[in-house]
Amino acid sequence: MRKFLFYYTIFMMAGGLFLNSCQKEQFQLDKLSDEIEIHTDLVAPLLYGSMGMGEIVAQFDSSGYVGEFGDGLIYLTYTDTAVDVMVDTLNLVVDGLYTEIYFDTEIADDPIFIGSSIGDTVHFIKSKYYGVETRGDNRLDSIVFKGGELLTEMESTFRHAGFLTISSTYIRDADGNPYTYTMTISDPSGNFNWSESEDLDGYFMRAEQSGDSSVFRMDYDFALINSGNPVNPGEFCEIKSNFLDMGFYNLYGFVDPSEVVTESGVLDIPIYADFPELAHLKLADPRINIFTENSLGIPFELSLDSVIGTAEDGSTETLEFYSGHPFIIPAPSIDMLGETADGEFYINNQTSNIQDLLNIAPHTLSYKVTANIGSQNQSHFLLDTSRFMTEVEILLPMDLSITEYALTDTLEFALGADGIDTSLIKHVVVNLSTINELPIELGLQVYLLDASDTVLDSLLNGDPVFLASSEVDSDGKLLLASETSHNIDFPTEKLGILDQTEYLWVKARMVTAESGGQFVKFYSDYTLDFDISFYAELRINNRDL
Amino acid sequence: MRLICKIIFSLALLLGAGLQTWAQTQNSLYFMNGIPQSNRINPARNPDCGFYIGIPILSPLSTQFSSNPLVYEDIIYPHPTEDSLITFLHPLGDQEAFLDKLKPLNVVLADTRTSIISIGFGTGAGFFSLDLTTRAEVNLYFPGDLAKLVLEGADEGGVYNMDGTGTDFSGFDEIAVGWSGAIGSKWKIGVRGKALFGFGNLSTSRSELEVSTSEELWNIQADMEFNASLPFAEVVYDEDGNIEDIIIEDDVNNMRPSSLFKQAFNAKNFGLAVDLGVDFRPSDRWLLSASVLDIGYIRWTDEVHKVSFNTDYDYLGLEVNPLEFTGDLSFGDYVDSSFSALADSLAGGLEFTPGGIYTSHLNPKLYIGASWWATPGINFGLLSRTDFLRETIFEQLTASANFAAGRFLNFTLSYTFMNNYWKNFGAGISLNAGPVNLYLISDNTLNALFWPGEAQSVNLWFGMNLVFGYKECWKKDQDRPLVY
Repeated sequence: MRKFLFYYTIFMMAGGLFLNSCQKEQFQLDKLSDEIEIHTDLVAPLLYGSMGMGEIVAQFDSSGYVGEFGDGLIYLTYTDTAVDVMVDTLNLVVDGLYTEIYFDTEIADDPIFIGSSIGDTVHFIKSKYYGVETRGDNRLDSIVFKGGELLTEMESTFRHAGFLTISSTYIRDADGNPYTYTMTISDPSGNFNWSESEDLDGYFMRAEQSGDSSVFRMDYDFALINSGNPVNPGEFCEIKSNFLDMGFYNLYGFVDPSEVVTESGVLDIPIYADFPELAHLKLADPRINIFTENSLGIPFELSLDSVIGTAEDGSTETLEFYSGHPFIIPAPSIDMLGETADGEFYINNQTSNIQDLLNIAPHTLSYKVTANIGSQNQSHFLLDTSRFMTEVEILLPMDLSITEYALTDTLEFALGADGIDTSLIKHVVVNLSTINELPIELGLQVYLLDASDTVLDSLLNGDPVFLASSEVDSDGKLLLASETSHNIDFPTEKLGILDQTEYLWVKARMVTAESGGQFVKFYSDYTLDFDISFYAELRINNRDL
Repeated sequence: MRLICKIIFSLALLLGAGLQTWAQTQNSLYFMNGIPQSNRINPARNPDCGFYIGIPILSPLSTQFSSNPLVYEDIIYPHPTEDSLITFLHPLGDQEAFLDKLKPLNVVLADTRTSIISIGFGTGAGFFSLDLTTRAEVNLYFPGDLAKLVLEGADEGGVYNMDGTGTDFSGFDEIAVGWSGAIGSKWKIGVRGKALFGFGNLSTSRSELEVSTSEELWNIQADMEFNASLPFAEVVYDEDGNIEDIIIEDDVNNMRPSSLFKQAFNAKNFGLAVDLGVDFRPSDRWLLSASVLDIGYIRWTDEVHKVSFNTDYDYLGLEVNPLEFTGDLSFGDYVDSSFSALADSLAGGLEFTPGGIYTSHLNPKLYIGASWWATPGINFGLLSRTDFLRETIFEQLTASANFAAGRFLNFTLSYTFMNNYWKNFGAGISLNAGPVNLYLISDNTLNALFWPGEAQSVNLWFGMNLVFGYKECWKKDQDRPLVY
């Protein structure tokens, strides 16, 4: 029994080893292929995001053309200064008053002088009114000179010494003292010449009306000290008074507004030039707002004449006002000296045909601005700091319709040096899902072109509505967002075509909700949400890597 | 000595790095007579008399590798037309069959153990044993859905449950003192008290992971926690709390005996365990027995670190602002960026921290057996074995036929049903030549020989002892009229 068991054991072990030898090929790992291939599917979200309407518009707004109202309604705006007049640039008072006065024969014939003894002083007194020259119908009541000079020149051929006193109660210094100046004639040789320039800065001059003119009076006291020499015929004393370079700190009187504001020109409207596609828009509520700042003491009426918009194709539209025109420009009253009066004037659908004008997408706007006194107060004042400025704001709320707008573009396309490994990627389906609050419908097709512009394939099937418009109410506001989902299929063949593609020909068309049949509003909180996911069938073989 | 230390430490760390507790003891051993180390599987067992000493390193030296449910031929098989082998990942491989074979949670287990000291001696008070054993065990748990996700991809509406994913590794030295003795003529009881000294551990404390995939989102829910004790290394953290480097101590690297001894008997990672066993012989022909092993724990306190991963993350894709598209990036770039963003987000759920004290439990095993002696030299046994693992319970049933050809030869043939697999034929042989005892046991010997491609488990238990006083024992056995 023991021997049996022993030999039985040996037999079993030997048999097992024999049998195992038949199996050993399965364990010859040196013959093991290292090739690995996995066919796997992968579905995963890829990208997602959200675009706010405000962001989208701002993307095209490198120049600050975009804003939004308090309720979030987006608008495009462009502001420019149409009129900017500083009063010190006005030449309201003629620069220079040139007056002459002579003492000649009246001296020679003067019995007092003739009867005087040597050494006696005899006075000859004259006064003269000078008219202040102003432009047009302007009237000067008073002025405080800013700068300016009074140049007095004198020539005397009398062979007597003496003195000359020039004075005027119309002209006073800053302390209210009348102007007076005395000059001594020290040379009795008959060849006396003299000139003197006196700074007028700060002097106040009052004028009075004489007919249509503003005049002021100068008084001359010419005194001769009898030297014993005779006064011969032809001897004279000539006095010239020249008011030069006159400016003013303030000025009272009447100023013709047309002298202040007369502007004409052509405004560029670059927003239409920069974005020609805006020509496809119909705007529901375009507006031009005019803002004035006036510190001139001149109330007046401002007229916009010949406001004509010119489109890129040369067509024009003239602005017509229904009401509110001309604009009454407010001005500070005499008790608001130095202050500014603001005015606002609106050109919109209620006051004009502005919608017609802007809906031609004007690239330029020609205009002529004129000011008239009209029925306004005629007692005016001006300060040297007075200014009149007009800003024109073109405001386009995004309350609009687009009936049809097509865009086409060709983009360069290259997958890169590696291209798509179609041995690895067998099939890809990219899904794009959107939730759109924007009242815009977008049709899109992308064609794949080779180097010779031959269409190889299209990215999407048919001519799909790529992005459906949201639903809006009768006021053009959002009712319901649209949801759209597209599967963009890339089977192996199309992946191969992508490798050959050199250009993408993008064709897009865009209309607003209801096919552009009604105006729709764009609010900044409208969003376009998107999710991009993909499904891919992959064949991963380590020998292809 | 230095060489021996290197071998021991290398075996403990390197072999152990691939290796577990489950089935580290052979069922076939349970009914074999005359094996000094049989008290490892039932502490009530002993040679009854004499004195034995195991040859260091070799007594016993055991190793085990198991996989459930994958077997070799699920992974590697002959090319259908060529003289070569292919894997299931080969274009001609059957990936579907591979996936069908996988269970929701799959396990790869391995362990190795070797004893430096194994001695036993009988006294009037019973039989005493002393063992110093180095053990290294590893369990690797991987979910079937993970393989499905990799091989089949992420499907629309796919839900991939990966609960239980993780690994457990323990390396420790065990000093066991055993005693067994008789109570009356029918009962024998035994106990082995074990002091455990851990030299390295990685424990998966919690492991819940589920991935749901769809076009809209990927949802990833995870609640995972791993603890580690690395007394032989310094873990360097960066400013963000991430592990920057793990530096093995120079003394360990250079295998300095003093350092290795310190690591081997590291009192900071101390544990206790106990094995209990009982034999009951109701008649001469019947022996009923039971044992429970590895009821114990190790408390890890030295160089403890914790990695936790908690997230409930919805991945919706890469958020982009299309108004900022530059056109410089391709579709592939966006795919890369998208998955990079996913990885970055998930990385945010990772937390590395110097951990607190934690406890790992040994995997208890319960044996219940019955033997019937047909003749004094032949008996048949039936054994139920239950392994209590972290994530699951494994049940095995073993039938064996045991032959004793005098003292010279003990031989056993066993059949085990486990893992729903029927072809587990084992064998064991024990030879005694003079004082030399030599044995070799495996539960899978025959199926490893006949159906190696189907083998789910390979184990081997080898031992060499010097047994003294055996003649008296043998004579005593022979003097009894019928000792089965």
